[in-house]
Amino acid sequence: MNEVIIPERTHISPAPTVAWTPLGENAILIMGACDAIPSKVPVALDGNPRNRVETMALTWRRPQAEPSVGVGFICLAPAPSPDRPGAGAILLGRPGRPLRLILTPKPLALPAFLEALAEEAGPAFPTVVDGLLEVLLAGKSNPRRLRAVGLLLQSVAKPGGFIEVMGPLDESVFLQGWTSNFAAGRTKLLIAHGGLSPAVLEAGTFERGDLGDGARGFFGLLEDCPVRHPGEIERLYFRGNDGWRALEVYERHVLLEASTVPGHLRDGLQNGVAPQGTAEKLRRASQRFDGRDTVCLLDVPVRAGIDDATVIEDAGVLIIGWLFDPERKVKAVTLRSGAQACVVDRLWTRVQRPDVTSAFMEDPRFGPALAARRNSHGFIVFAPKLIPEPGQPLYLEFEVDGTGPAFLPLDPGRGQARRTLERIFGLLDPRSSTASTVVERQVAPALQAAEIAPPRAVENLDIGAFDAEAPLGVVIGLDHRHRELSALFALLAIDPEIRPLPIVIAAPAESFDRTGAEARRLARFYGLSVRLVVVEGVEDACDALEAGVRACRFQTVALLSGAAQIRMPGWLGRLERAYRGRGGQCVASPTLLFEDNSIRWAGAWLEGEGTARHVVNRFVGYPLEAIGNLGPMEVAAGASECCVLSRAAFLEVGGFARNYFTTAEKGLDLCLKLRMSGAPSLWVPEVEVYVVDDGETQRPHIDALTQLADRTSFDRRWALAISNMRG
Amino acid sequence: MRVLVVSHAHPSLSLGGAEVASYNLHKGLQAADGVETHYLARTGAPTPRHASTALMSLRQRGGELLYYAEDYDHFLISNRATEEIERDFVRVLRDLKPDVVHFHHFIGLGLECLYAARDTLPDALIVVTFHEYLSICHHHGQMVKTGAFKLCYRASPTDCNGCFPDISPARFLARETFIKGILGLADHFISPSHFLADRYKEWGLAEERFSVIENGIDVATVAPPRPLPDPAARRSRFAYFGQLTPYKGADVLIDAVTRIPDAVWGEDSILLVYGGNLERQPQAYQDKFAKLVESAGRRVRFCGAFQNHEMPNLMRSVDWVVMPSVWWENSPIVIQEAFFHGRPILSSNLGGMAEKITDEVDGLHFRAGSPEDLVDCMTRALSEPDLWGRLRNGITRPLNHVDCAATHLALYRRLIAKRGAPVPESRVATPMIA
Repeated sequence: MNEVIIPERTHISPAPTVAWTPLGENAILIMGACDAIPSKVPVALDGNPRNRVETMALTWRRPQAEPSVGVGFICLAPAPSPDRPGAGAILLGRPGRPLRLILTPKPLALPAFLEALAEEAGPAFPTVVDGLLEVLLAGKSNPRRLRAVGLLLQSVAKPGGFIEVMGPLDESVFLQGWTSNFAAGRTKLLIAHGGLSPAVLEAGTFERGDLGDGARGFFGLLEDCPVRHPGEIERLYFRGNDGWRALEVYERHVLLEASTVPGHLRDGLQNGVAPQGTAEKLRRASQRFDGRDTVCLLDVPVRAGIDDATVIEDAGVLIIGWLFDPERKVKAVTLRSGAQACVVDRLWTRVQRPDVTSAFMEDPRFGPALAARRNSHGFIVFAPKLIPEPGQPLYLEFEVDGTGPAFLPLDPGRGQARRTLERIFGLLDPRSSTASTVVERQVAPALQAAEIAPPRAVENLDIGAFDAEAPLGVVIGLDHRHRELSALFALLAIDPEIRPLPIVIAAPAESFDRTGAEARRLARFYGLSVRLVVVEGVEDACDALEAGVRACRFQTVALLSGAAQIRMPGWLGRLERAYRGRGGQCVASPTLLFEDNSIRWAGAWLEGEGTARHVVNRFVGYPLEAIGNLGPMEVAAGASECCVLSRAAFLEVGGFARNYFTTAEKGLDLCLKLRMSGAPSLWVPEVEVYVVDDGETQRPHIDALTQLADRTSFDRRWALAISNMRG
Repeated sequence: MRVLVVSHAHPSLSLGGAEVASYNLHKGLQAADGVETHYLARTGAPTPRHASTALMSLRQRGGELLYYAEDYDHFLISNRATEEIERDFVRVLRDLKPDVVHFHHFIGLGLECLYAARDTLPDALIVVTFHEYLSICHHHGQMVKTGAFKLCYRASPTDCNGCFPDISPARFLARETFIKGILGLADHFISPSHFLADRYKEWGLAEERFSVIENGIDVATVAPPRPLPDPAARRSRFAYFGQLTPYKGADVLIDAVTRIPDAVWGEDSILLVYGGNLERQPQAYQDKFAKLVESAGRRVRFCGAFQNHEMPNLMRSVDWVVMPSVWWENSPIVIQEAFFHGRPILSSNLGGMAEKITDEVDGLHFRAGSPEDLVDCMTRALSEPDLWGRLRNGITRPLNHVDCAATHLALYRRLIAKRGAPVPESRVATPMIA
């Protein structure tokens, strides 16, 4: 291009007037005619040579016109200064003879401008528009310019096929339809969606029997797509071999759920073709989770199944399942939901699953791989802190060597921590080391992590002259097990020291229909002042006791678990006197007996030194006579099944911990907390109360595991403090 | 002194030994000077009740009340109809204001009645007579193991769970503490036998609160010895009086009868079985019984159930009474009846029977449950010419109901005196409601 010098101001006259239309704040599109103009030409505002740009002039012949105006043209030019409307002139730096053009006082609106252009350019209009589009798209885009492009495309683009299926996939949009005008691979295009946005389509094509004239089906992903919802897409424009084409969105198009898009991509890849780069991109996209089990489609010997998946409220996800991977193809297993992820194969405990082995033994695809005869296909894992958000699917992603990820959707239930975790015990052989590992590595941490909602009193029913503010009262906590209330009430009533006291009886809401009516009848008959507390969320007697303590305002409370049975009248009086003897700064507990009068609990004692220091139940199992005639004495911890203590002290330490399976550790935990806060435990040997396991619900092997879990949890929490305890 | 005798049933409606004993006490007390006595007995289905009250009269004598109780927990010996106890039983106590409430059993009534008596009448003397081991043993109070009919020597929650695996030791413990707790409200316990008293003491009731007083019987005339057809004839007629339950051992007796050689049994011997309720027993027992009866043939004659007042007449045709119970028994009224009429008894060497019948003095013992041993006894009875007479002469006349009531009265007075309260003054008979 020749060097063009644009004078600061010219006085060539008369200058022709040209139509123009603004394209954004800084540019205008002008249309005029002259004798000749090069395709690239510098242009500036008359009198403002510093605002010079180089523009592309698009021309057409005007055969009927004078030679001086035999060439029509349009080009971009700098916008005139807004403070001098209508006074603007444009200088085109044609080589040797600059062309001065006077802008019409008022610009044309774009549609009117294009209409005028169409009339002016005649048969050359499409070519001119085509070039104009290139010019407009090449420059820095702005809404007006894009709007101009949109209007231009609308008028020039020819039909180029239809989009029949759309669906979102992360940052991309999946498209499927048919076209005759682009080949598989990477295609630049424009998306009309109210506005106009550039994007790239990575697409493959496939044969379709329902199309003619060389049309092919296509499938692919719109990348870098600013449109988040495919429904906003009105049409796509792309440049084919013969000019711009429009891919219209079929009126009855299908909108896919995001989760199903990878499946459509896989189908497309299976049936269609694409250049390697595109195919690779689409394949990676197709390997995202789409709600389907893709593990079962793997060609390699990898299979997986889920026996149970439970979201433990506020704690995490517990998964019990199996992974059959005899050739160790799986490199990682990740639990995912939305943006949350947890690499579970670093946490899980593998367990024996001979049933999985035998199931695959019969399958010729897997039999040879089983030579190793390993059975540890099962796994149990607690994924902490991963709580699926509503609407977000939960799935396992298996990174399989050589084939990319495969997915296994989970359909988790929701459960309370304790009940969910207890289910695991039923699956374990308590004699196996696996059981211990599962308990220590999965169950105990899960229970400790769980935020278990406290029991909640939902209703209080008072019978008799119940005094909630009494200085001393009895709190009885019932669990879900059947209790002989007739016996309990009679033994309360025949004790003259208890009969005048207010008694709180806290019972689970689930069984209250039965126990409530019976308790009311018995309270009336025996003339007892009773507050019946209906409690939701009771998992054991400690929960009920907790709610019961909170449902009264006694200064001193005598806790009596539903598992306890009164052995003799006078027990409470003697306990309370021992409690008062220590100034009310203690937890006074009696000797607890089994039903055969052997000792269940006679003080919790500290034994060992340093890290070996631990709390032991020293006399458990011995005949009652073994403890002789001892007086009250301080012990490491008391027994929450039956004790007298300050209600305020109970509340100050937060009551019972909920992160244990058994009431034994809960009670121990409570008494140690009270001890740390200045209320040590006092054992009153002369008072005896029965606490009997209910044989009707005993599950020996599960009990062994729950005890192991609780010991593990207790040690984690208390080992250090106990190692430093004196006494 | 005003006494309320409480019984678990009225003998006119249910003819068991305990009912008869309680009623005899009531009658005996009525005969005593200065005592006003009332009798309250439990009744239940199928007797139709009044809707508005548990109390009824059923046209019994004045001073007698029936109390309807059916909402009953057999395991705990507990009456769930506590509202009726408050409304009706307590009303009777308040109206009568008895000085002594004497429970002659509480089965069906529930221990709550005993509690209500203590609660309503804190100063009244409460006495309980035990008739079997129901407080100790859930197996019908028999202290016989379930299943194999092995004798039970000691109850505990664990042992009882062995008999009833579906009931946990915890529940048995609750039963025990409940029953002991309520029984602890009574002032005194009476047992008709030392054997039964000892069992309760071993179970945990205070020894000093026990007295042994035999039940008194109320029989007017003594049945003479069976007239023999000729002086050389043998005392060869045996009788069984009692229900045909597995515990009573009638099957052992019939088995023994079938084993006695014809040469010994002869043509003159016969076993008369007075009893019923076989149809209520377990099918296996009924089948076993039917087979034995078939084997015994003409040696056994079934006479059906009997009423207590028929006893003197029935005794007329009997030489020996056989008591083959395979459970401990307490103090069966049959023993007193037989002795009253001078009939020696062949009995199991167990519990209350062994206590009440002295071997070789007023009867013979055989090993409980052993038909072979019983065969030996019966063979002696049929073979030893002087045995019947010797044993008959060894019999001590049993306590009658009036003497029995007098013994009770003496006990009441002693206990009241011991408590420091004045002995209630004698009062003439008053209308029912004081």
